[in-house]
Amino acid sequence: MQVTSQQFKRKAAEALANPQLHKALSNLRARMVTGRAQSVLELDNLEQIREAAKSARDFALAHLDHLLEQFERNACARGAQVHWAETGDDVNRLVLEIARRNAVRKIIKSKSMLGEETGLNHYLEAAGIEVRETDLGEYIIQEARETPSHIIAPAIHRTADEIADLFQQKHKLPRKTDIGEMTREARMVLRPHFLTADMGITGANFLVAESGSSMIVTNEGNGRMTTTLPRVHVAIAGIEKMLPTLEDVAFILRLLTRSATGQSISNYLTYTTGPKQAGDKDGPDEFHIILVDAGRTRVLASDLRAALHPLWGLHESLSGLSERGRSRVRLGVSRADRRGAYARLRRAGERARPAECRYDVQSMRGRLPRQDPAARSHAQAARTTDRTRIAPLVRAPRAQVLGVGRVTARGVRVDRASAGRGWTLGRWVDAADAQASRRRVLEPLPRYAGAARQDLPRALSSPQVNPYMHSFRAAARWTADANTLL
Amino acid sequence: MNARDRILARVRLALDRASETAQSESAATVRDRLRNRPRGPLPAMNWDLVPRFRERCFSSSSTVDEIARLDQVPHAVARYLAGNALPSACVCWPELAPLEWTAAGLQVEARPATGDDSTGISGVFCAIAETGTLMLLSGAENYATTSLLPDTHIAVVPATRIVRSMEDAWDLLRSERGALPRQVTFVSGPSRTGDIEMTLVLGIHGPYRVHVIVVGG
Repeated sequence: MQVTSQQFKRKAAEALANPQLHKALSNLRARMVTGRAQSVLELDNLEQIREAAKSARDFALAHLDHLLEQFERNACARGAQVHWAETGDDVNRLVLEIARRNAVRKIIKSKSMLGEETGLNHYLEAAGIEVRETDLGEYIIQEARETPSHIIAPAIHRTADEIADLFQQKHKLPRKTDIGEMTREARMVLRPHFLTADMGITGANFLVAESGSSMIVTNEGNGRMTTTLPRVHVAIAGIEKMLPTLEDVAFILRLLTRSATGQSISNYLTYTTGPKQAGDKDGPDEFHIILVDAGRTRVLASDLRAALHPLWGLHESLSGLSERGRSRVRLGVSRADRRGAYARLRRAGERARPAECRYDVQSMRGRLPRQDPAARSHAQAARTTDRTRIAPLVRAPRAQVLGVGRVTARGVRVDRASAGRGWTLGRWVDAADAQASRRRVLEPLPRYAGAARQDLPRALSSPQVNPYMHSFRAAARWTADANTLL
Repeated sequence: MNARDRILARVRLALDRASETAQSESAATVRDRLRNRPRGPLPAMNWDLVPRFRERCFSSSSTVDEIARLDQVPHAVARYLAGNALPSACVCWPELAPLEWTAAGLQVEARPATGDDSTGISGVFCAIAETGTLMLLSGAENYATTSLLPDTHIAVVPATRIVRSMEDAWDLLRSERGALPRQVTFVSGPSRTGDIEMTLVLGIHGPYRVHVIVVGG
């Protein structure tokens, strides 16, 4: 995978000047952001599930070695072949070896971000094997020779018009303009590939140690075809996808599908355990699982371990925000959008839940089970320590989290120019200070080199993780966007 | 040392578990967790199984029919196909083959589906009320293609096989079958995509239509 975050500013400027992109992205908010908020409201104990999900993930990472061993044992017992890849190149090499051994000429692929990471398609194509992406979005960008712009909606940057042109050029059929017709055309073009492929490649949303299963979450049905029709199936999975039991997957899915697409559940959840069994009429003769490190153990050893929580990475880093702020970020919607969501929900004739119509942190708290007094006072003490330690950050939560302020040994400095724009500022600074601080902020050096760095939410303060934080302008732009969101 | 051992060694190093005691404690913790399988927190579920299942099927764009007895299935299928102007030839799972299909004017064959079949009729292992989901197991007589390749998938769901949550479904599977089959698939409605301008389109690679017949509700 080519990393382009170093050119973020240039690429962002280009993107902002592209009217096609504005058009293509205009539907995103309603479908993803509002859709998610609406489906999250179905859960009366969201916070409780989040906490439990975090602790299940923590458990999985803390015992990753033994879970990997258990997984391997259980998968092998069912006839799966487990391989280990230390690098992205190892993944590509292993897949090619399996393909060569089975005289594979055509591969169908269900969407895999790990495949993008290792550049698997190019590698296999260079070796003379035909590779077909089958997720509609991935298919579009494969035909257009592009890379996915979003893990769930890979072709979100393309308008229907552009895709219509592409299909006309590639399929040599009359140009369609209706999105439904274009989708049916893709179904018609891809169906023969499903039926003639020798090998299927999928990623994995989770690995289940208890049963040795790999599972994928899909909507289109291409994942089911890929795991059922070809005679060889290879699943590639980062080792961080591990969860202990089917119970863990079951309750975490309530968050995953809602956060991913705003669905209460995705169309297809497919758990694969081993190859075709005696008597089965369908299924592959061989099932391979490649467990991939490729830098993940290095992250596990670093203070960025939270980045290995696939869904909760961002939320981990919001410790400088107030609880209310955090819950708003989690809901990910502006006030107006949320009102819209509630209105729609009421219209849809959902059961009347007045408390939730005035959704706020207080009511969320009320729904948590009562803690015992000892645990509560312990938590209280921890919070007090926290508060003293990160007091300056709490006073200027947005400014510091979003990178507009500067943390020094003496506290938080906020650029005065930002003050008029509605940010909550913690400590007013005098003019001389402000000037100096603005100059420093404008310097194109990585900030947060100051004394209080260890107090900052780590993931956000590290330039490797957050390339947006490099310059004041980028930060300001990001802040402006985030402010409308918050 | 091979790749496996090197990766596991790096994991152990990262987790700072040098001592024998720490190692065996972790192994024991994992064994316990896999044996006890604690459930995560469930959301409130104060609804009745069948109405909830029906409502959730509708919201994931499936259609639902309710009949009293299994022998009424062929007529319910015929009614649905005629109502949607669909061909009367179907394929089904062997467990459904004994039903009186011909009497209902249908040509039904018990075999795996090919890309040319227009309707597949399957049973289910169980169904989940919380999300309106069908749970299908692979097996010698449960063809995966039945619910995948045809344009229309019809599922026969005995009301007694509707459980509350996915957690309950796993418990049922463990108690009745022990181990997982090659594939467990949860199906919630017809296949769909939003990959072109986030516009929802039903029927991309899998079925366009999912029709659920609840028996004995």
